[in-house]
Amino acid sequence: MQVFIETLEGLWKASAFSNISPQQLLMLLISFVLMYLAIVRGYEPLLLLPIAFGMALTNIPGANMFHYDFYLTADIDYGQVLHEGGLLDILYLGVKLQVFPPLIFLGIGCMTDFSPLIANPRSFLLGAAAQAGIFFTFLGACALSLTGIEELSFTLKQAGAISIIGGADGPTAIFLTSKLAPELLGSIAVAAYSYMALVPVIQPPIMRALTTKKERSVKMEQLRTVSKRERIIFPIAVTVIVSFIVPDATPLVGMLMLGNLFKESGVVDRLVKTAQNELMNIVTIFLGITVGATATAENFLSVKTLLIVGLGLIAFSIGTAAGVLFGKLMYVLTGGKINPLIGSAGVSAVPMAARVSQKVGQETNPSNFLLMHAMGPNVAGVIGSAVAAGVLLNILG
Amino acid sequence: MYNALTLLSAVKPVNPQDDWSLVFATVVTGMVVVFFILLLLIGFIMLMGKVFYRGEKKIKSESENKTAESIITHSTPERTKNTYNNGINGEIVAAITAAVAAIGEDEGKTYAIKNISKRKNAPRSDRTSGWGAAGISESMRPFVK
Repeated sequence: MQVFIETLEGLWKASAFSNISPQQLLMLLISFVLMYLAIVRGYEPLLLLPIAFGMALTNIPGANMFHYDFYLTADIDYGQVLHEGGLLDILYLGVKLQVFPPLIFLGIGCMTDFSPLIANPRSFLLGAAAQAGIFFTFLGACALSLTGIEELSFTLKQAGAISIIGGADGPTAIFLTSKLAPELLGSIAVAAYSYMALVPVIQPPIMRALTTKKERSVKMEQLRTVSKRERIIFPIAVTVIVSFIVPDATPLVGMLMLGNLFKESGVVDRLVKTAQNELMNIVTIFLGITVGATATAENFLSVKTLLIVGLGLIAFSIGTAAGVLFGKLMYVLTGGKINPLIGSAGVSAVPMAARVSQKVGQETNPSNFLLMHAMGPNVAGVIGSAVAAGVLLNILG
Repeated sequence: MYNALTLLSAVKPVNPQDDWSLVFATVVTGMVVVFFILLLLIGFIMLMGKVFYRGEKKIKSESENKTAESIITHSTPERTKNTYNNGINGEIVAAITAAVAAIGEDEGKTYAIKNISKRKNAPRSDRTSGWGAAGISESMRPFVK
């Protein structure tokens, strides 16, 4: 009987019930809210659900699935990870060694059609303009250090990682943050994916405020057809040009273009199917759950997380505004041929941002079909945000 | 360009207040580099378009001149609106036309649809539904070159 009671006591002491802290309990509740948003509200469920569950797993005391202290220094003790680490420690190597985000981009490349961009290359300018959100937010995040309050200040690397939220590109955000500020990975990933899901809510008011009815009702000329040869040469050319100038962007841009080349070549159908489906799904699961696992109570529950959420919203809004304003400039320069609404699609949230342009355009003119025109800046934004990440990595890394 | 970036990254202060010039340089350099690269890509794509698109347009117009009948390109909802083609609903005709046009676009060719009609009394072996045939094809894929 005594042994039985002692065994029960031992079990109780080892259980999470006796070891959980109030902060960890709060993190569990936050993870439940995120699961609700993902499942019931449909907020980017493919990534938000594994992130939320990873968050829950890492905040259960005694589970030992993830040890953040293994990854605090630049040099990883792989022996320690393998011998003492849990499942998520081993899977996290894919994030830390920057393997997963480029593989996600491979799948995205297989699913992306760059024809609207090739047919109307001026869309690249709108994709570039929308990246202003990244750099102005970087300035804003740095400016917080002027307060002199340590809790409200970010280092240069942290500011760079936070600013990439403005690119509205999840894999790029994770890629850059894991290199520059891994301690903020959980907060930045949650903010980035939440804002991507909120594109239809955040963008329309900004788009309506910055454009006139006349501008919104512009009907654009039908895009020319793009030959297969152009669609094959495009990914090769983009990879060479971008990688030569900003080599740090090669993992993302290179894999994006490799996936696109697979698709456009038409000779590796099976690889395309695998990259689009099985590979993408596997990597999404591993990436999501491990990113969520970095959101421990110590890392996530701080004033800095709230600041990251706020700065992320600013980054997103400035990116949308910059794209629309550049679209207005192009409207003037082309004599009214470009609808400024497609500028907002320069953020990389493919294809949601393009759909928002279509929807807002149709509010003014129901016969206006902007979707394919908006896809140009949308996919240009993916390239633009990857280039911006490469620049930030080069300067701050 | 790469040397400028390398120089900027050689100095590595930790906090913004250590080096505000780096902060502003990062912002300016970042926007300039992004625009520069994308402008380069615009130039390349426009050049590519002039070479390949004009060339293909020329070949297409030459082949169009050779044929006597007019060619229907892409979907033609005007022709099929509320009319029936051999008893087939106009929407189905539009869907078939769009699918053929999509295949043609992938292959870089233009197809003309001359007739659409229902197959009556198809042999039993040929009565597998489209979905069934796709499933069989998918399963056999690893075994077929």
